[in-house]
Amino acid sequence: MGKYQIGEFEEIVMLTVAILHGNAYGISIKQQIEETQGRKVSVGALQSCLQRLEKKGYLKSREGEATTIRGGRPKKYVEITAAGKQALATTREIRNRLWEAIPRVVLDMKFTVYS
Amino acid sequence: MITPPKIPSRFFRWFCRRDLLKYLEGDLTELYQDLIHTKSRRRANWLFLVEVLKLFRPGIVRSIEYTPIKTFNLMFKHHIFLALRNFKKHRASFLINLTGLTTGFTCALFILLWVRDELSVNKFHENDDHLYRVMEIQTYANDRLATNATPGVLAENLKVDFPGIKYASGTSRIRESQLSFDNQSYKEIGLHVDTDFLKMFSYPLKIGNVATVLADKSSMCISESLATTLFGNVASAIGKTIRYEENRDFVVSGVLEDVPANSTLQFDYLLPYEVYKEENQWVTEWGNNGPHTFVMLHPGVDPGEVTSKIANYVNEKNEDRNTVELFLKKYSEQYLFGNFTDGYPDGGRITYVRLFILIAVILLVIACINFMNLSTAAASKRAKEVGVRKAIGAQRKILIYQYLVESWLIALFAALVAVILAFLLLPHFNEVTGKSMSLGLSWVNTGLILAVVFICGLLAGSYPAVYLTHFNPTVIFKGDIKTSLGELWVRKGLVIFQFTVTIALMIGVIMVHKQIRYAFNKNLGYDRENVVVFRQDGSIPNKREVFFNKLRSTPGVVSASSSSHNMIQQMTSTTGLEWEGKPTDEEVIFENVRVDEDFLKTLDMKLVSGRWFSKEFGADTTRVVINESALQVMGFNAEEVIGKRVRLWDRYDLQVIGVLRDFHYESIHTKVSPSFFWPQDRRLRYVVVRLAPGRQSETLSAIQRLYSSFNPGFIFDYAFLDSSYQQLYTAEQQVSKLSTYFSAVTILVSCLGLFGLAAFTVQSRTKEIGIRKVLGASSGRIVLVLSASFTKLVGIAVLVSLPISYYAVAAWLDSFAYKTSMSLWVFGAAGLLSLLIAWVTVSSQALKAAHINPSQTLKQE
Repeated sequence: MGKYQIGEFEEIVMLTVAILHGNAYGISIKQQIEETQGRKVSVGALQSCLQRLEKKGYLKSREGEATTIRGGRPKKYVEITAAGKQALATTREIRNRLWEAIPRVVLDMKFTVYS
Repeated sequence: MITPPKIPSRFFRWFCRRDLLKYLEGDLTELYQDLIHTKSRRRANWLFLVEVLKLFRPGIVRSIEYTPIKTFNLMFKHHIFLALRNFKKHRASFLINLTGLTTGFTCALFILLWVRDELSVNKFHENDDHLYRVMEIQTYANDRLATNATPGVLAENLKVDFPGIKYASGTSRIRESQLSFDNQSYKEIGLHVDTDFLKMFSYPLKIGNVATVLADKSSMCISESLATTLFGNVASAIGKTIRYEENRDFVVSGVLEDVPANSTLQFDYLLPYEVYKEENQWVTEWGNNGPHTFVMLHPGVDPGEVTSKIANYVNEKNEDRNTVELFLKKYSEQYLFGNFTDGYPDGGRITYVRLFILIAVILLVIACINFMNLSTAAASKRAKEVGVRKAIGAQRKILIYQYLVESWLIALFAALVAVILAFLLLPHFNEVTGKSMSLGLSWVNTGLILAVVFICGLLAGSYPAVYLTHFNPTVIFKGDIKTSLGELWVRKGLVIFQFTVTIALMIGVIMVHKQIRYAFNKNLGYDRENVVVFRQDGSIPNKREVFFNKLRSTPGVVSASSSSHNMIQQMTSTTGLEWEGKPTDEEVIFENVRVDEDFLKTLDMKLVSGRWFSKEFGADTTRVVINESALQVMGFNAEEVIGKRVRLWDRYDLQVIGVLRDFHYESIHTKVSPSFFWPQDRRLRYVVVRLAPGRQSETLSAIQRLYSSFNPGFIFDYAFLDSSYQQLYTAEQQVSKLSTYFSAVTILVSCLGLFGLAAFTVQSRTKEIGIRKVLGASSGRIVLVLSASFTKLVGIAVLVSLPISYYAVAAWLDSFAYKTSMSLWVFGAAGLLSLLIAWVTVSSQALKAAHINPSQTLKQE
């Protein structure tokens, strides 16, 4: 279990990469997260996260096309590796298990307070 | 696409990991395009900067390990190591290069010292910027000349009449006088100065107050060293009474620090100018010239403006004259820019300064050329090294850098050796130049030396570096490097250039020597051998008759005469001579020479016509003799002038009785002035004595005894005319000696290069020589084959250098009024000599090669 530990931001990045499926590179990932989550992501934060994930073996990269809008520099596409999928699955499973373990009362109370 | 702001991008490129750089830069650029379309430009730039700053985090910043500085240092170490290894491996060419560069540097260093010393002369005065000498341009019908001599009352009047002038001082000329204290006498040099003098010039007082030290007419300032000689120490000098010329007492009121060597004014004592005026009545008249005048302007006053205001000042004071024009000359500039031709500035010593700078540059360039030639010629030896390096991935940039490091290193070695050599040779150099320079390794000197090392290294190393590294490794390993025609031409061109310069220098030096020898041997119009000149001091003028009778009867004295001139200087001139047919509105300047009857005989001068003064003809005091130049100015011929009457100063009616052949008073830079000679009792300052050859020292001591009996306590101070005359050419002699040394070095360095090149050529042609020998060529034939190509090069150099040196020498000779001829043999000899030197250099190598047994050279392969 400890083998597949990933952080919250890492999880979001990996999920976004999965969503973008084949079109995931720095800027597209950043925009996707900003649009869907309404949170600001800096290139720096994203990049160091991508680096980390690649180092852990959850992502792999390939050099993409260079466009004029990028000043002639290539994109670096990333996609999820098998280990990455495994890690996401594990995280999700842990979370599910945790949800299931919450006593119903707690949730009901909470709902009543706010509704 | 809009490019993102430069500075943040640059910063990013600097810190970003190399493997991420292109992707991230792409991301950033794309992001910026986005920003620029949605936000204002400023906002976009700002956000971009923030993004870049946020990227500055671990994982993205590259590690220090890969900074280029580190590689640079590493490679640098490696280069130095390799350079040292190469020096060891190619010892011969290393030594040749080192010797060439070292000699070049040593000479350049000496020249640097000399030039800096020359440039420092008179610059030490704190008020240097505001110090000026007042000079005169005097215009006459027959001459226009600039002179330092001014009316003696000029200084004090200028100071009163022109508010721009802060201080002004007249000075007498420097002369040697006798100072006595406590029965001990010394001949010392000094002058009379105004009270302002010490306020203007930085000759600091050890004891005494600048404002008052020369205020009293009986006061006197002496130098520290004179104080020590006279009184044992400086402190006890004040208040002591010194007897001056055995006729006047002065009380020491101040002690000066010794005058520095780079001051043109050299003196051991100063006396009040008032005393000079008192003793010489003529000084106070506006019509007489003699004293020098110095002024110091208020800061911010324009000297040009002052010049235009004072230009006519002396004429106004003299009422009817319009011949004199005053102008200011910056005092410290006069040393280097002191020459005037027809009253117009015409360079001066600066010519020599420039000449030597040129020689230094030439020497360095020649030494650098040696380096270039040897390195490129040895290319095949090192080509393999370059090939291997290239094959394993060395960039050309790094290889070029490596060769440059090598040449810088060798230049640095050479500089170190040169500094050591310079230290050792400095005393000798000082002797030749008559200076006392020291090799202070100040920041400026060190900086200059390092700059020269850097530039020479770059100059010498750049061509070999580019040349050696341009080979294609595959070509190198296949082993057929072909030197292209262009490269050969570069190498040949360099040799031609070297020899052109060398030959031109050689011709220059020979001509300088020839001119100086010409000056020394030129018939000056009289015989200057065995002639002694001394001053008529003390009581001699009053008892002249008795003194001369005794002098003439001294054994060993051939003849003796009185004269107003010391024969190596023009001394008194006048425009007061009138003659029949002289245009009334013109002023003509004549040298006024007072003599006695024995003058002609003593100096062995020749008459063109008429007769010289003689007691037999009685009252010769109303007669005059003129010289040939005067004859020309007056427009008579030698015969018709005899018997003509001339009028001097509207007081004397004189009859011309003879014409004397022209003789030189000064160095032959200047033309002989029109002169007249008349017997007078007044102002006969000098005794001129001709001694019999041989026994001169006995005769001189007899004369000394006679002198002392007339002047007890006076020092007998005499000079031989021929050596005084030679001293007029000190500057030329120094220059000639120095240029001889330097051109010898140039020749040496050029030959060194040729030697190296020849050695290398021979080496690379050993097989060819072997085959030639096997096929039956004689040793002589082989030497001829090998020398031929070099001979051609030197031959071309000879042809190129001859016209260049011809024009240069002609220009230099133009500065002399009387000059030696430009003989063709000088040019022929220089050309032949250089060919000869080249042959000797080359054939020593060729002979060696020709004597190798071909079986040795051909057995390999």
